[in-house]
Amino acid sequence: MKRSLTYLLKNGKIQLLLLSIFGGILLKIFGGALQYAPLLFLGEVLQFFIVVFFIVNLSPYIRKLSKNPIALLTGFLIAAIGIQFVLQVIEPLYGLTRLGESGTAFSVVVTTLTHLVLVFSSAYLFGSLRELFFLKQRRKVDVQFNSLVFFLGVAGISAFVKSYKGFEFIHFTFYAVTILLIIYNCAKISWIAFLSKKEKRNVILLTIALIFIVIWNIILLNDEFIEKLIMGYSPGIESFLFLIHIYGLVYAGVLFFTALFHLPTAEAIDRKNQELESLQYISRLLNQVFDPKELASTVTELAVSVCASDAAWIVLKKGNENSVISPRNIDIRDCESVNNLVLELYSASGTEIRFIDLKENISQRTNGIPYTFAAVVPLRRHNALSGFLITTKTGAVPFDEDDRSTLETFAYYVALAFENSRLFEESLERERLANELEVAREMQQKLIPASVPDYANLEISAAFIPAFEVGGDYYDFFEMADGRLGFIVADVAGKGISAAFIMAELKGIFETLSGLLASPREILLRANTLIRRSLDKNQFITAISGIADPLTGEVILSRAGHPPALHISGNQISEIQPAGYGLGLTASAQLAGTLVEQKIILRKDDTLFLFTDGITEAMDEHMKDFGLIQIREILARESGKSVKEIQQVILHALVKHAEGHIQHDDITLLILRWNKN
Amino acid sequence: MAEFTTVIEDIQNTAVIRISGYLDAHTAPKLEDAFNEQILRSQYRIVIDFENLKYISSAGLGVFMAFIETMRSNSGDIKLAAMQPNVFNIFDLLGFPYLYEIFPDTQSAIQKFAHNPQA
Repeated sequence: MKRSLTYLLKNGKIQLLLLSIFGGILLKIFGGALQYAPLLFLGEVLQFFIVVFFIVNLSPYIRKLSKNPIALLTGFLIAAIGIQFVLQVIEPLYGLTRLGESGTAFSVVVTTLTHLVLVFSSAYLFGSLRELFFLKQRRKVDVQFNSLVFFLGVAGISAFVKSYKGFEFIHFTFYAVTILLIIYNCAKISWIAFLSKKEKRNVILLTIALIFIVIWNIILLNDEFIEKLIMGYSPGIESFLFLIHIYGLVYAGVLFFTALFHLPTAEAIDRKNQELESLQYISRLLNQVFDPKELASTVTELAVSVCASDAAWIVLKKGNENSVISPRNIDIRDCESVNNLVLELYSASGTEIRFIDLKENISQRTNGIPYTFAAVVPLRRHNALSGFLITTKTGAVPFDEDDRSTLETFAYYVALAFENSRLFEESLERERLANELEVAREMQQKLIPASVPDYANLEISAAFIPAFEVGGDYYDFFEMADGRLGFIVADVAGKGISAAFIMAELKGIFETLSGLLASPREILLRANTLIRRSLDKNQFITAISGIADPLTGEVILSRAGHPPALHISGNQISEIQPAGYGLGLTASAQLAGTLVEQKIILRKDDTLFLFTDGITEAMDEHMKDFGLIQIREILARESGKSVKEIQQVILHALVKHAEGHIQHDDITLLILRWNKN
Repeated sequence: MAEFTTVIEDIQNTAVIRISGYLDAHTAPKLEDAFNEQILRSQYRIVIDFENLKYISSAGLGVFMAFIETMRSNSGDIKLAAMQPNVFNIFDLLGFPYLYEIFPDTQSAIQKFAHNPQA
């Protein structure tokens, strides 16, 4: 308050006001004494200015209430009561001070003050009526209202000619036009439709009070003494007061009847609004809630409020099983029991909403809860039934067709929301998998040897091409104390991070065992015992473990279910396939009964070729695999070349074969050539 | 996308699962479902008919391994029959013949169950 006061003072507004008031008073005295028309006119203009001043300065405060018609009406009522009060005390006040029509200074001050209060209050009335007029107007109705304001102003200013014979018609015309415009502007009040039933009732009560006070004010304004008094002060003010009250009366009258006629439909409208709000709310949810549990909980909550029912839950179909989730206002055990009953009675194809009468089955199957009706809403996704939303009521009022159409729309949004949630989870899952693959790839890179060992008589070449989804291939070398070379090629069944972990473990096991044992068969048997603990039921490992002697060209190896090693000597190729099945399938005691060790003697320039099934099974676009036969052909053909060159040829042929087809499995190959005399 | 189907037939107190197409990591769950169905029915004597199976990967092999213990510990078994040469090769390489009974046709597998109630 203090701040606005200083602001007004700084602005010069109050100074302006005081100036106008004094000016008005002076002109009144002189003009009245001289009956000089132009002065009287000027006086009226100043009064007009004061009215405008109040209206303009009150409107920011009134505008704050603009969203609240009831507050506007209440303010209007209070201002009208204020006017009523002033009009009531005017006569006794004058009687008390024994002032009549005498022009003493004191009477002038009192007159001015009372009139200022009246003008202030009617400026407030005007402001309220203006806000109410513009409330919820969708089209541009400025012209309508501004013409009213114009004629109101003109009617006010021209009021002083009433005392001049022959000129009364001017004022009268403007007056009449203003009243016509008032009626025109009050013809349609549409904001009443948006109020709740309770608010509509309050409006009716307010308008009754308003009409009462306004009529009383009008009666008082017509009182001989008061009319003469106000006219004496300023005819314009008198016209303005009167017209504003007429406006208020017409508006309140129209409002009263409009509100009255809206009352019977108010409850239905309230319900529709609530349904609309619920649907808006759930469509916002689509963008916000991704957690299925939270979504289910919100859906059941909304279902109950939208249908005015008592309980709700969701049933999800997974294959042949139904699971009940998110029971609202009902215990889970009762819920499952009632659910079974309801679904039994539903017995429809899952494409339509059905309302079910439960009255006959109460208490037996509903665990004593008096549900009388149930609504079953199928939730469909991709043209298949994914579950149901079920809501139940107690009481005598069944679900109606309005409920059906609401539930249909609701079900659509709900299905959409669940779909959204599922897609979100899928994308999270994909991201998680992508991250997992990243880690697995990094791990795999660390496990594979960075370089091949260098021996005078042993040419070694190794190639490793990981699959996109990280297969389980692994190979390694171990330089033994006695100068021999231990090697392993292994394939862990499976992909991704779990295969990578097994590989890591296997590396540790191999390195340790190679340092302790000199027999590949023993190494595999021990490895079997150790790795079994970490393998799932459906996981296994194939491997070839071997030891090569660079001095003698002797190689001993053992094969656990792995593709055969190829021994190329000249252009003879033999498959080395000693008996043995994969690791992780049985206990080592049993494996020991089958697993054997085989010795190969490499002659000069003999080659030993080891690989994983990623090579042989690499498929082209026709799903035909690369095959062992092709490998054999290439090896026979290129047997003269260096191991590096042979490797290149094979990989090249592989790439060509599998062109356009994603590599599903890791590709590993290991080539050893002994070239000592 | 590679296809895989299972057809189940009950013959002489044995469940014969005829598999066709490609058995790999993507299609393995279908075979798992078929096995689980049999367990729910307390049917532990299974013969797998491989006649129309074109390809099997290590994930596919893993499915048999995952269920063999359950079947055997309930006096049943999983017997493999009628494999195409390339599929048999894969099993052979892996050493499965040491662990599973493999038959040239489904009839002999069913007969084995009949003659040997304890698998």
